Formats: sequence, C-alpha cells, structure tokens
Amino acid sequence: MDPILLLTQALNGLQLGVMLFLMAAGLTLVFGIMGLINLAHGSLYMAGAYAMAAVFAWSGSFLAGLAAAVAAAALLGVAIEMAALRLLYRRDHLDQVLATFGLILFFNELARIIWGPAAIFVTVPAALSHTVEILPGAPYPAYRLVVIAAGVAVAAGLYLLIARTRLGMLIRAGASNRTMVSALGVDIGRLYTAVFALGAGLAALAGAMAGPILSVEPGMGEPVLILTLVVIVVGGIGSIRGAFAAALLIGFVDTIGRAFLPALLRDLLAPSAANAVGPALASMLIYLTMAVVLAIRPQGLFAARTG
Amino acid sequence: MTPLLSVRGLVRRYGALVAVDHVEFTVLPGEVHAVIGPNGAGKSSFLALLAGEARPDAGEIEFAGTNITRLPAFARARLGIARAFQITAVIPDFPVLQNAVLAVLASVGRGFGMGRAAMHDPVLLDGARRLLARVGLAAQESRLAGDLAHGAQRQLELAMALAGRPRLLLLDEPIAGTGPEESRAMVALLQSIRQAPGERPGIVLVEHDLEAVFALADRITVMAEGRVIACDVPDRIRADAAVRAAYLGDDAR
Amino acid sequence: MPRAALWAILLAMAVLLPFAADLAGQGYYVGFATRVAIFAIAALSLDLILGYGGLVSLGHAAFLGIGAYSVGIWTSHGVTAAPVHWATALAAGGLFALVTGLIALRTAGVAFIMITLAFAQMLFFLAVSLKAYGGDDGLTLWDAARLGPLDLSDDRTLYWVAIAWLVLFLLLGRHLVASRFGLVLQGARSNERRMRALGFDIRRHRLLAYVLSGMAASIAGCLLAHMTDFVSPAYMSWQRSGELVVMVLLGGIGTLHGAILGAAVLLILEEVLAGLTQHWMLILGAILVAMALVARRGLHGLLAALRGRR
Ligand SMILES: Nc1ncnc2c1ncn2[C@@H]1O[C@H](COP(=O)(O)OP(=O)(O)O)[C@@H](O)[C@H]1O
Ligand SMILES: [Mg+2]
Repeated sequence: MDPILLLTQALNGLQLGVMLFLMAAGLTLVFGIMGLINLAHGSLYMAGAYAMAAVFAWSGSFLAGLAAAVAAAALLGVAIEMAALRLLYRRDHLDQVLATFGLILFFNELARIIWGPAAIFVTVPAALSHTVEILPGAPYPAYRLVVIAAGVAVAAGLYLLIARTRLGMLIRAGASNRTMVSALGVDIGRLYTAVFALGAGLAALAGAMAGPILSVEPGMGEPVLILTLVVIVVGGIGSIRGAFAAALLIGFVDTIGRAFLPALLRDLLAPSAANAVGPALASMLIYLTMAVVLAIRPQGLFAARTG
Repeated sequence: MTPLLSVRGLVRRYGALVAVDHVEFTVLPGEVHAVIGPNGAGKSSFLALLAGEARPDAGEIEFAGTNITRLPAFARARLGIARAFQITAVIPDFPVLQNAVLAVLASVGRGFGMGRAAMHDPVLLDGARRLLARVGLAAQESRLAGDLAHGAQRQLELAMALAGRPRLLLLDEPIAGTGPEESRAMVALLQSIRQAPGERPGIVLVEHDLEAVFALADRITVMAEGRVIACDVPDRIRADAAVRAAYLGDDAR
Repeated sequence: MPRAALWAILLAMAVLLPFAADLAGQGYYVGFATRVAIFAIAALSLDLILGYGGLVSLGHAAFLGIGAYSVGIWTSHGVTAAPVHWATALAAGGLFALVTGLIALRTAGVAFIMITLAFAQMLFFLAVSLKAYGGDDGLTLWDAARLGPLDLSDDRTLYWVAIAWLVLFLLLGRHLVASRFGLVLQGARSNERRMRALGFDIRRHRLLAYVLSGMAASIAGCLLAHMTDFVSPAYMSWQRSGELVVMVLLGGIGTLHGAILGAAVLLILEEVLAGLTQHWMLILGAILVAMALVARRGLHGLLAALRGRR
C-alpha cells in the first residue's frame, strides 16, 4: 500500500470525522438533555452553508462568512426551538419525528425558493487555495488542513465548555437530572434554548466549512444527518465523548474503505467481480460497522446514563 | 428442606454506589420471607436482580436447583418466578379483562399464536375471569386498567402474577400507599395465597407496612445501605437492637 | 349500518372504480388509485409495527426498494412472471427485516428510529453502486410482468391486482392484531416490563412483526415497479420512509384501515398542493409541523373527537 496515499486518505478521514463530530455534538446534546430527536438538524447545517455562501460572495471575506453562518443558524435554531420544538420535549418520539420531518421539507423548499434548485459552488478562500507538502512528495490542500485544525480546536473548546464552565455544569447536570437543575434556580427553558443554539451553531460551522468541499444545494443536510445518526448510535446516544470517538471511527472507515477496499478486493477476487462488489461494499461499510458495534454493544461505545 | 431460592454474594453497583452489597438470602418452599429496610436500602434493586431485570456485578442466584444468574427476565418468569412492581405495572390502556387474558396467555401458550384469536378464546376468557374473581375485580372487567383505583390496580397486578401458578412471588411494597380498607384486603389476599391448597408459592415480600410484615412473614431480612444487617424470625427481629437502631427506631417513633 | 355492510360497499366501490373512471372519461384516475392502493399496502404494513408494536421505523421505504428491485433484476434477466418477482420480494424483504431487526431490536426507542433509517440508507447506496442495474439513474423495465394470462402493464389489471393484495393484507392484518400474537405485541407497546415479567419474549414477537411487515411492504414495492416500469434508488430514499410514517399518522395510528385513509389523503394532498404551486413541499412541511403540534391522533382521532362531541 502506498504510504503517501494512506496518509492523504487518513487526513481525509480525519476531516470527515471532525465535520461529523460538529454535527453529532449538537444532536446528541439535544437528545441527551431534552430528549428530542431533531431530524431537522441537517437543515441547520444547510442554513450554515447557504449563509456562508451568500455572505462570502457579498463581502469577499471567508471569516465574515463563517461568523455569519454560525450566527444565522444559531438564531434560526432559537426561532425553531421557541416556536415549535420546545412543545415537543416531553412528547412521544413519533410527534418529534413528524414535526422535524415537516421542518426538513419546509426548509429544503425554502432554500429552493431563495437560492434555486441548482448547486452553488463556493470557492476556497484565496489564502488557503494552495497545497502544503505534508511529506516530501505528498501535497495536501491547505484548506482541508485548516478545516481539520478548526474542527479539533472546536472539539477541544467544547470539552472545556462542558467540563469547566457553569453552562457546562448545567448541561451535565441536565443530562442526568432535570429536577436538580431546576432546584438550582436555573430557568430550564433558557438552558434548553441555549443548548439548542449551541448545537445549531456547531452544525452551521460544519455546513459552512463543507461549502468549498461539497456543493451547496437544497437537501444537502440529510445525507450528512443520516451519517450523523450513525455516529450517534455507534457512540452511544447522548454521549459527547462517544460522539467524538464514533465520528472519527466513521470518518476513517468511510474514507479508507472507499479508497482501499476496491483495490484490496481486486487482489482477492476476479477483476469483474471485484469491480462490481468493491464500490458496493465500500458504500455500505459504515453501516456494516454500525451493525457490528451494535451487535456487540447495543448501547453504543460509550453509553450515557440518560433516560 | 432445600431452599427454593438461594442467593450467594449478590452485588449490584450503580457507578460508585453499591446498591446491593454481597447479599446472602434464601426462600424455602411455601415460605414468606419479608425484606424490610429504610428507603434506598436496595430492596427494589435486589428484587430486580432476582427477577432478571438487572444483571448482578457478582454473585449467584439458584432457583429450584437451576442456576438462573444469567437468564433474562422472561425466561425466569417461565420457570415460575412472578412479580409485582413497586410502581404498579399493569397494561393501562387495556381493559381489566384483557390484562387478565394476557396473564393467562403467558401461562398457557409458548408459540406465537398467530392463528388463534385472543379475546374470543373460551380457555383464556374463563381463566381470566376466574383470576379476576379471586381478587374481587370481576365486576370491573371492562374498565380500562389505568382507570382503576390504585389499590385495585395492585390487586389486578397481583392477579396477573398469580395466573401462571408461580413457585416464587416477588412483591415490591404491595400494601404501601393504599388506604386502610384496601390494605386490609391485600393482607387477606396474601394470606389466602399462602394457604391456598396445592399452590403455596414462596414469597419475597418487600414492604414498609410493618404490621402487615409481622402478620405475614415467616422470616424477615433487614437491609440497610445494600447490606443484610439481620435475618431472623419476626419475634427476634422485633427485639434486635441493631435493627431498631437502623430502621425500626425512626419508624416506631 | 353494520360494519360488514359498510366494508362490502367500500370494496364494491373500489372494484368498480375503473368503470366509473371510464364513464367519466378520466382514465388517469385508475393509475392514481393504483398508487394509493400500493402506498396503502406499505403504510398498512408499517402500522403493524408502528401502531401495534410501538416501533417507530424510519426506514420502511427500504422494503419498497427491495420489492422494486426484485422485479427490476428479474425482468432485466428476462423473467417476467410476477409470482417469481413476488416470491423473491417476500423472501428478500423478510430476510432483510430479519437481519436488520435482530440488530435494531437489541436497542429500544429512539435508537430504533435511527438504526432503521441507517439500514435503509445502506440499501439506498447499495442500489446506487449496482451499476449493472442502472446505479444512480435507475433501470427501465422494457418487458411487462405477467400473471398467468394477465398482462400487468394494463392499468386496470394492475389496479385490481393491487386492490386484491391490499384486501388480503388488510384481512391478514386484522386477523393478526386480534390474535394472541397481536395481543402480546400491543401489551408490549404499552408496558414492556410487565410483559417480560409475565414471561413473554418480547423481542421475538417484535422481530416476527417486523419481518411480516417488511414482507408486506416488499409486495408494495413490486407493485410500484409494475406500475412505473422503472426502478431506482429513489424508491428507498429517506423521504419515502418519512412519507409512509406520515400516512400512518395522518389516517390514525394503530387502526390498519387508517393507514389506507392516510395514504389516500397524503397522495391527494400532494396532488392538490402541487397543482397550486411548484413549491408545495413548503406547505406540506408546515402542515406536518402543525399536525404534530396540535392534531396528534390524525384524521381518525379528529373524526372520533367530532363524533364524541356530537
Ligand atoms: N437505575 C439506577 N441508577 C442509579 N442508581 C440507582 C438505580 N436504581 C437504584 N439506584 C440507587 O440504588 C439505591 C437503592 O435503591 P432501591 O433499590 O430503589 O432502594 P429501596 O427499594 O430499598 O428503597 C438508591 O440509592 C438508589 O438511588
Ligand atoms: Mg423500593
């Protein structure tokens, strides 16, 4: 196996992993604390990507685009939470599925109305459009390196937020004991809104950074959402640590599998069979990983003790 | 007499908390073995381990000569271990009769029963009505179980537990929280179960109502902080200084 | 009116619908009614696990795909006998349900939703990667499926076949939910703990329900392929799965016939909204949110409430 290719693919896997973690962190917190399964989390990701594309194109500043994306999605998140989702916290999961499925349809169509059905391409900011030689003879796009760094930094920041701050303390307490949080004199409604906004902001950050890598189009949030759900069940629903471990695992398995599985099969099978089976198996690999993890540990890698 | 149930070194932890701490315990055939202790002593956790709803971290459970430590709850139920919960567990959105039918069904059928009607089957209906008559709920058979008074729900739950003619009954506070009238009815019902010819299941009775406990129990185990601090016949438990200190003291007032 | 008479009238109307459509010169409606019947089968099968079993599956469209590809793959190899398609779909759908159900049912509640969705997505990508059978673009079926002497490319024939399957599944479903098996399934939906304490192996019952439900939905997938002469991964997209859940909720969960009503209402609603505006999904989305927030028991519940008030 070519070591340079392996390194490149490992970095790609890491990049996918940190993106998935940004998505999964908010989703798993919202579920762990509020008991809400929010299928419309992908819409917040999409909102971030569009806001980024619009503000970047208008201002020419990538950073301004990022800031706008996070702010816009956090506001949108607060609006959705206050208008609809907070009514669903104690409800049946079925009501939550119905409402957030409706939100997905609504936002995808809204995006189509505002920006049209075609994909928008966002360019990589000029300062990062070069490649970096990570090893002699191994160039890697600078932008992706920055995405990885940003993702890791945000993960570290999130860890500090949850482990060290008052908000984090309340989040941890809220995940295991609602009544205790209320007893501390905290307005639980405000806490929930804050958590929701935090999750929305993280999703938007992922969407905004994905803009130059993927295409920005209506419905772009759902494939990512489904991958995120896989991450969450593999990690253990409600667990941030689990989400982090599983995001990296899924990121690596998907990238490495797609890159090497077809070649590997060509060594094992007849070429025609390998050409047919390789891509099929590679595209199913993360789901098979999920199946294996759940068969061994139904509660996921890190089971959170929540209801 | 060989015990019906014997428990050795049973441990259950929740994080750092040891809810059940190396408990040794036996029930003889036909015996009523009461478990008392302050709130949080680990009584409900102990019953959950016996019923198979929670896995022990250490220890062995033997029932009628079989090691059941690793059997799931439903398999233990099939061996003849029946259960009433501290928080009453009937099927609230089913009518009373349908609850009883389910209980009878559990005791007669092992297949899926896809080809057989449930609520038109005379065998199931007769069995269910007999159960309801036994606990005095015959007149209420078409009400939703969730609409019954608390005491009546407890009786229904007990009736469901009795449907399979269990060899061991695990009862978690069947009397606590019911009114004086209902509580007397429940004690009488438990007495009748003890004395019913041919059945005489062993009973593990977790209960706060000490009057009922002293009236019903053959032996009493006292738990505190997960551990067994005494196990003896009622008269000696009543006299035990350690027990008074740990438990009776604050209840006898 | 006695219930049996009501059902007989409804059935007669359903069977005679093609003639009425002809008289009215609206042949288009036969195709539309076939669509309704097909989705009614899928929604009804979902209601068995959702309404009676309490299992929220967000991946039920996977079975539509399995059925459709059973037809597509056989047809592309020159096998046009519908019974072969159906038998393959039943076997493949049942097997997929068995394997994924074994894993998904180890978890409970919300994890079940996510896992069923993920497995459906897996199948979606599998279909995308099947280049031999059209991959992403799908596969056009050039030969019509045949049922003995009948040609299923004929609109009316296919309509009647679909109605026959629907009636069969409705009858089977009614029988099943009234059986001992159905009672256990419903008991477990309401109080799992009690059911285990009674000695029922809940997981096995749920698994069987899931397998039966998957098999029925696979038949719907076959019929869909017969109707469109086309199969593609889009048949098992997550939106489809979501629509099936919506149909069940719309018509009234846990009633079986509600699923039929829900399928009809949703498809009609989509048709009507699409006639109003190209951006009808916006309206539909808003309706669904409102429904989740206020009208929780669907049309069935709404009707029942109105009847109760009078
Ligand atoms: N599922 C659980 N998770 C964490 N702690 C638990 C759990 N169940 C019980 N406990 C703890 O175990 C201890 C014993 O509880 P329990 O068995 O309910 O006592 P009792 O029935 O004697 O009142 C208590 O401190 C309780 O808080
Ligand atoms: Mg207790």
